[in-house]
Amino acid sequence: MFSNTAYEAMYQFIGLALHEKFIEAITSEKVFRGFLLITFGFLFFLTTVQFFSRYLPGSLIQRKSVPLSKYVKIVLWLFIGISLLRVGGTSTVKRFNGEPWSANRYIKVHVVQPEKSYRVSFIFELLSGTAEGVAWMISRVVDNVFGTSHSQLDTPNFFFKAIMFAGASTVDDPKLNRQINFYTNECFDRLIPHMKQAASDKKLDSLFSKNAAADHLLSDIMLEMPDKKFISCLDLKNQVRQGLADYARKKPGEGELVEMSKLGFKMAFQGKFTPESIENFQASSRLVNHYLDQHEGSLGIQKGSQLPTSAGRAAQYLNRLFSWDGLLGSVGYLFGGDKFQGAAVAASRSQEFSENLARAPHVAGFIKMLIIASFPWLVFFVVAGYWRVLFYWFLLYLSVLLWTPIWTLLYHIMVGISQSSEVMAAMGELGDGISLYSAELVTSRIYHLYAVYSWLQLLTGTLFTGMLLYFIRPALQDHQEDSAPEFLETAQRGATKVAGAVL
Amino acid sequence: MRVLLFASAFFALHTALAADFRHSTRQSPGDYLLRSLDQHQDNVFDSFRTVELGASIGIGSDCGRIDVTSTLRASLKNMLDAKYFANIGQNIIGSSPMLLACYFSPTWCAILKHSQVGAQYLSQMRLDQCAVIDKYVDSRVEEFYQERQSCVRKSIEANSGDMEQAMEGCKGNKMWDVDLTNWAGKRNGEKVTSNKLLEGSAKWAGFEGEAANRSLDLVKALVGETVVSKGGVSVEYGPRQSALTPRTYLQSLEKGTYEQLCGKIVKRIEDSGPETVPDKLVSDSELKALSPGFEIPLIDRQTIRALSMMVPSQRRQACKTLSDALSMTVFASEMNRSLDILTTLSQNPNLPPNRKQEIEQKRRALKDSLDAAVSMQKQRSAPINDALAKVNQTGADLYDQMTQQALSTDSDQEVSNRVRARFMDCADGVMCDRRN
Repeated sequence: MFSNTAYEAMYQFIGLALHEKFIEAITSEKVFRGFLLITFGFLFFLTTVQFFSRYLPGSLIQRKSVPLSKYVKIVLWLFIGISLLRVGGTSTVKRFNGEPWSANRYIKVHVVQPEKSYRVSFIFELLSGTAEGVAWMISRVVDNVFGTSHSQLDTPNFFFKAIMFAGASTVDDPKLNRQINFYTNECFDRLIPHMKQAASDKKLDSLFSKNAAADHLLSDIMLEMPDKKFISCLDLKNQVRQGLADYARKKPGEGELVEMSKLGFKMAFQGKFTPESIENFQASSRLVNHYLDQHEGSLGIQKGSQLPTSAGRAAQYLNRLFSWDGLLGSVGYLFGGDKFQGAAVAASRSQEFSENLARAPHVAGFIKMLIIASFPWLVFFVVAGYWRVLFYWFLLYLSVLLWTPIWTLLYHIMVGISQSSEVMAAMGELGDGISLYSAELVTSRIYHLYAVYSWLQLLTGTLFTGMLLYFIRPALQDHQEDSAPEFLETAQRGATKVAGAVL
Repeated sequence: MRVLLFASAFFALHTALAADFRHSTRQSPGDYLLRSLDQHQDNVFDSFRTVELGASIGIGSDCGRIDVTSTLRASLKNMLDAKYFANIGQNIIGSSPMLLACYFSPTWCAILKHSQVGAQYLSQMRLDQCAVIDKYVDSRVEEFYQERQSCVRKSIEANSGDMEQAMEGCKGNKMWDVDLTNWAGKRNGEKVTSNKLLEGSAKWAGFEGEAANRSLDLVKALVGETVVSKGGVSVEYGPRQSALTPRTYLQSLEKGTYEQLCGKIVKRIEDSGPETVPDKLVSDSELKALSPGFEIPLIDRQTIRALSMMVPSQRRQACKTLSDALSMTVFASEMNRSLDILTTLSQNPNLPPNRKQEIEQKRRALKDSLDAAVSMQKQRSAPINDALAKVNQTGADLYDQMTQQALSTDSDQEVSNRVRARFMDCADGVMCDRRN
């Protein structure tokens, strides 16, 4: 069994464990065995009654022609049914590259005693293995053919996760927070009105990045500290820049995540951007989140009603930049992806994003779990003569497995859309230094695109399974009488006429 | 040289990094509400001035001890002066009484009679003049004359109307060698060698205890204590030993309150750093000392906390406004009490009428001075409730901001952890948080 996320794998583990337990329960409990025998006996009796009805008076019973082969079928169904419960194979939940999920930390945390492999029936192994193999092959083909940046099967959602993780960075160091606030409150309002208006200059950006004109003005503003010493706004700016740069490195364990994020960027953008631009993106995102938090707190306090501070104004103007337009924006808005517009704090965004990441895999995994766990119970249907349920089961399972290649295709399409010229240009600006506007643009675009993608995942998956069952089901129904093909009847009528004419 | 440059750069960076970024170097419009504007301030009027004591004015005239014979003789002498009567009367005056003159010459007798009348008239005039002079020169010591009159009256009764003996009996070496009736009333002693106007009346009124003494001392400093002793009168100003005007007293209150409130208490809290809860750094006695005379301190710990949260420039203004308002309240309360005390003291029945009038005059003078001082101070001093409201509101806002910042930092840390947990949950098999 293959799964590219632990969310799905977790349900597969649970499904297999249930599968194993159900087989054990059905085979060990007398109730179930008795029920199976009763079912078989009832079917046998009914068939016998039907078989001998031709010798009975029609007034007593409705005569029905049952061939003797029906008994063979009944025995065959019993045999197949029992074989569903016969444990003859094992099943392992693996990643698409073959690594077992049982060693994964997420699985260890969420699944009670995950095992490397589970004992399953031979027929289950046959059917599920076939479906898994088909799905794996199609997924691989789609991933390799349409993949532009990285493999969605091996590193799922890495493009979006790398950007969103970097974009969700916050400053939780009180001293650095105070430093940023002090710099913002003391220097912004004194400087911005005196900065020359130039179309290419973004004033908020030049207050953090290297900008000779802004630095010259900043150096003119001297601030008196409580110890009666003076410090210039330029010194403050450099301290803030240095503090932001040091922050990630000094924080325990954070450097590792930064490296991870860099790896994500490298894979997502195929090395188009330098490590500096990624660091700048993270620093810019931290500042954006800091200002957004000043504008509206994560505790739900409407800070907009308060007198705007310099930081609050910065957040207001940052938010004004983004009005997601066009088809994708409308879709995102309809599905709730736009509800944090103007109030997108890191916590809300990351939570929403993580929900988006997990929603569709959870649904797919849950359906897989139900399908896997329900397999042993098919024995009652098969013994009762409804053997086509095995085909339905197989189709359903296969259709759910095929969601993965569909989603992979969709993912690569969305990544392609995400790497628009606008986003790439913004990332390019981040190579020159801190840019709040660029960071906010990149994060906002990526966030909304993934919100759209997550809803499309569910839509396409359920739609595909529904359509498959809708079209396949009539082919498996046998309520029509057996009859000769229509062309034979036509040919027969033609031949009769010809024969009559000849004779 | 490079080493020096590096060392200085390192030192500068270290200093900058160690700086506290909590304060603000700008004034917000709201901060001006915390500022007390000292308009029309003039050091000439605000500085302390020592008032010259009117100690031992003394008795400037002997009119209280007129010798009738001498007076008559002097009058007669003047009347019979050569420039009026040549030397006619010289011998008469020198050697004979009037009866003898009448015996020798009826004419001279008539003349002398007339002259005697004139002498008596002149003597009376002189007496009246003396009375006026005495009143003018030192009306405050007439208690001694009254004491003498009282003595003479009693001696006349004791000597069966012999005035000469009575006069002789009450005649001491000096006029002021008499004991005075105690203004504090008989229960505090019949006679005293010296009387104090305010202190004696306070004793009579039963003002005792520390609070009463403090108030009385203030009244003494404001209006002066009249002390009548040894035929002299002096003015004392209580323990301060210097006169106070209401304005100077108010300013001394403001200065003292500011030093106590902002220079000691708030500075102590400021020095202790933001990690210390300020409540325990302020004692109840310190708070009580800020509002003397009030049972419940006017400033509580909440206000101190509010001040400690402000940035230095804002705190300076708020402290000044608050200490001014606090001083004004204390001042108003103490002045009111002083006027009440003076009103009560003026009811002292043991005081001579002129002393009662003196207290009344002191009261009126103090009230006028107070009105002037208060009306001037009103321009720059906010009522204590307004000042407290502003300080507490500002402090509450700052506390709110600090709380929000602290919670925000807390929230940021939680967000970081959550974001980390969400993104690094290892669900993709790649991004795993290796801390866990």
